[in-house]
Amino acid sequence: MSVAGRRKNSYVAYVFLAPALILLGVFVLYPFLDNFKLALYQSSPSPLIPSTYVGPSQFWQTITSSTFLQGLQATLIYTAIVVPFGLLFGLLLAVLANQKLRGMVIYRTIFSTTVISGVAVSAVIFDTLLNPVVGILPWLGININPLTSPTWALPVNALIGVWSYMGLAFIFCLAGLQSVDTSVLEAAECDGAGWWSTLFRVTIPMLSPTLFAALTLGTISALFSFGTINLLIGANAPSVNANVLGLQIYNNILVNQNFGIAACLCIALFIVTLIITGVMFRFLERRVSYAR
Amino acid sequence: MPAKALKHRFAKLASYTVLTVAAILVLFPLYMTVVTSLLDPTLIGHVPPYFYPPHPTWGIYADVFTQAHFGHYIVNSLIQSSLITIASVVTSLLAGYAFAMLEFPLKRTLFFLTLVTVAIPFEVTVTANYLTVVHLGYNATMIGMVLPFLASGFGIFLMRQAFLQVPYEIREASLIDGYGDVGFFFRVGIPLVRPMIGGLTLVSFLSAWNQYLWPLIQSSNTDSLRTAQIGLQTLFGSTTSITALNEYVAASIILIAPFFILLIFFQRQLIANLTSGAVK
Amino acid sequence: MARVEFQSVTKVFEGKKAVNALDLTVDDGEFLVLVGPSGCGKSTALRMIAGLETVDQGTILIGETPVTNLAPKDRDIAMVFQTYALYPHLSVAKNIAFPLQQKGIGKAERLARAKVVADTLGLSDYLDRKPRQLSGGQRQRVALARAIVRSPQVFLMDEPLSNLDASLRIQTRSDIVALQKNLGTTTIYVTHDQVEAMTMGHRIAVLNEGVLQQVGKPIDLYQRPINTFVAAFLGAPGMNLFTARADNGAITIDGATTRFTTPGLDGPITVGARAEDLRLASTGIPAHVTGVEILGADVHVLATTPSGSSFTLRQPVEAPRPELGENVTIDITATELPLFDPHTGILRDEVAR
Repeated sequence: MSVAGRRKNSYVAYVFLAPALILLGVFVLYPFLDNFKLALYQSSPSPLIPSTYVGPSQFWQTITSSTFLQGLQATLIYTAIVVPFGLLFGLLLAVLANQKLRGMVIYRTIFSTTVISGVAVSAVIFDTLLNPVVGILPWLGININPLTSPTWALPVNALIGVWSYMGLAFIFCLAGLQSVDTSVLEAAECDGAGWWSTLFRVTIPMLSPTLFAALTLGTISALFSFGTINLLIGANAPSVNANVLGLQIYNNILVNQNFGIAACLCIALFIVTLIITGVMFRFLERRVSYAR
Repeated sequence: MPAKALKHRFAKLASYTVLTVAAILVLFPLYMTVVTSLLDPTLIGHVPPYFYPPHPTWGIYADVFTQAHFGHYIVNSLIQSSLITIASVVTSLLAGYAFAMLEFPLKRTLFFLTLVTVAIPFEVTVTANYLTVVHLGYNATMIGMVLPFLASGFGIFLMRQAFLQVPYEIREASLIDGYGDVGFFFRVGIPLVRPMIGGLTLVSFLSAWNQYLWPLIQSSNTDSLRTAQIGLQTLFGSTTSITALNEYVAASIILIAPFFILLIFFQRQLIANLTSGAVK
Repeated sequence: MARVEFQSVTKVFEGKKAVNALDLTVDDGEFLVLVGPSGCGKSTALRMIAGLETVDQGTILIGETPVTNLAPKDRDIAMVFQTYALYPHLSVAKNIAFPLQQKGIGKAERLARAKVVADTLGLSDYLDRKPRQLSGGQRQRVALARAIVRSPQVFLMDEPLSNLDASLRIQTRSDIVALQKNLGTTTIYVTHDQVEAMTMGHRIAVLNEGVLQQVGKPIDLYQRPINTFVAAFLGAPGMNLFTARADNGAITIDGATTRFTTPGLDGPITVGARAEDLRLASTGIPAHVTGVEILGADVHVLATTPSGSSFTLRQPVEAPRPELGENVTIDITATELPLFDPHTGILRDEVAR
């Protein structure tokens, strides 16, 4: 290709890329990096008044505080419930819905529904189920309000998380299952593998790239989520052991306007995310087999 | 033969049973929400609970619009979600095309940076974004509401995958036919990736519609800017009486009903898109 | 090892009979090639033996056992797929050992047995590789090894060579034949490639539109095809078919009298002649040359008679070649010609000499 042609080509490329890359730079990369600056300043009450420089000590103080450590614990517990169970149920539903039976579209639609309810709607749905005044729990003989119980508040919110994430995991897994080469499954059948054996020795290993993608995406989003806790528990979150880090970030920005602390928390949570996903890549990705 | 037919029918029956039980479990929370929204307020909290509304009261759905200004919030949501969806689909298409079909200096670096943005959760960027929007003077406006979401690393990645599946011979054939990149992009490229555009549109719109943190920040002092999610949250947060309960329950049903219908029609396509694109 | 028998087996897909009342017996230790154009039902027939498709009517026997209602794993068959269908997440050794694992054979023994089979197929250096790290030919051999390792009663092969490039295909063709000869395992091999059918099988079964046309040794089918379909399908090129007339036993093609006669025959008739049985001559059947293909040692002359019968003539490259568009005359050198019914296409008992 001629030099003139190539130059014209890259000119077109940059024009095509400019809108997306400028927006991503200004609203994703810059703000991400800006956390490291913000973390060094003590915020003023108004964003328009300059903040005071306090240095890295603010970061160390933040991440050694008991609030942070309790929040970290809550965040990890929440994630450890949401991701494995959500993925497991999603996979289970996908395996069920991948059969060739009449009316499967209906089941697939039902199983996908949990992806469409956002945070607020999920909160309402589960408040309806769990609110003592609505009456399902008393009818089952449970007379405590799980949302005000220090034992149950976090697991119950994690359950909502499982329900929401399950739909996404379902869609991912079903898509993955449908792209599995059917002749490989037939080969397994001829080679003497029964249904279970095929599922565990062939289908799920072949699905591993999909499962790994769903696992990492789900983990990142679970580590940062706080919506239902904010709605269903709100200010009581610290007293019921549910003060997850996402909620602390939110409160520091919107309620306390303490941007410096919020930035410290963002950095800390991002590092936690990096460590966890890093461990996943280190120990799980090796076992993922990519078809090509 | 009969023994086999019987075994086959039994296996089928077992499959349907398991599927149906699973469907009931998945749908139960949503179903109870619908039931509650249709209950007469005096029946809410009855023990044992009603698993179907004896006298459905549909009036509550009208109340949601008239008394709770929900119509206004839904219009806000529609504007916000449409702006975000249109802009992010357009920017993703353009950038995805460039990454898949063009050669240019710094291509690998720029694509790597794009992938990095996918790994950064919005929550991490919210502080600086808030300050940016305040400095630009768009805080608590519709522009401020949509500004951080007009481009999406994930969307770019999806569209790149879609364009990568266009055989390069088609591009070469069009070069011989005299199409430049712009002409090819509009006349050949976009029609070829239309299924993926559909999928991305649905996903973008759904995630914009379900946005929570940013709309809450933008409308925290500006009621008129509330999106439906925030309207629901406010309704939910301000409720103390049991009679208002089915109002916000009804509101939440209104919020997901359109997607429920979309899902029924586009579920097959959504999965097909994921199959051909993201998962591979 | 065992014989395989189809007893009036029928398979219906969407109201159309993909396989129609198939009666066919494959002998113990035989290499049978099922051949036909795409969509003729050959793969369906094979998949019914494997148990991957259900049988709508009829019975399939492997050995003396009716297997029609058995699951694939209970039939003791092994299948080689067109796409090889290797397990992408398993190494070559584990792919080959997979069927043994399903039989509950211990790890050490199954890997040892896999290694033995891998050695015979020249795969020893690749035991730890994943399928994606192998070439097409190596993948194909892994698929073969996986089939061989458990010594099944029957091998089923579904176009196993069609994803290989031409030179490798010829090599692998003879490898598979040799392998089958060594093992002596009953093998049913599906292909659309009539060259594979002619060169590989002890017998060929030709299928068209779900109906079995003819079964027999390759040379018998080549020389005495039972109908015009088999005649035109087998051979490269297929048999030439001429629209002809018999007048009081004398055969004329496009008005040209030939030296062939069939006593007592009158009326329209279809005459078959192989490309090697035709030559350019100073007198004979008139034809218009539509193509000249120089293949190397041979030359194919493509031509059409005035009445519209297209045919191919083969001659050595040294012979004088006609020009494209030239009008020529053709002589038939065979000692006898098969005759087909002009309406049904079925081979007639009498021949023209």
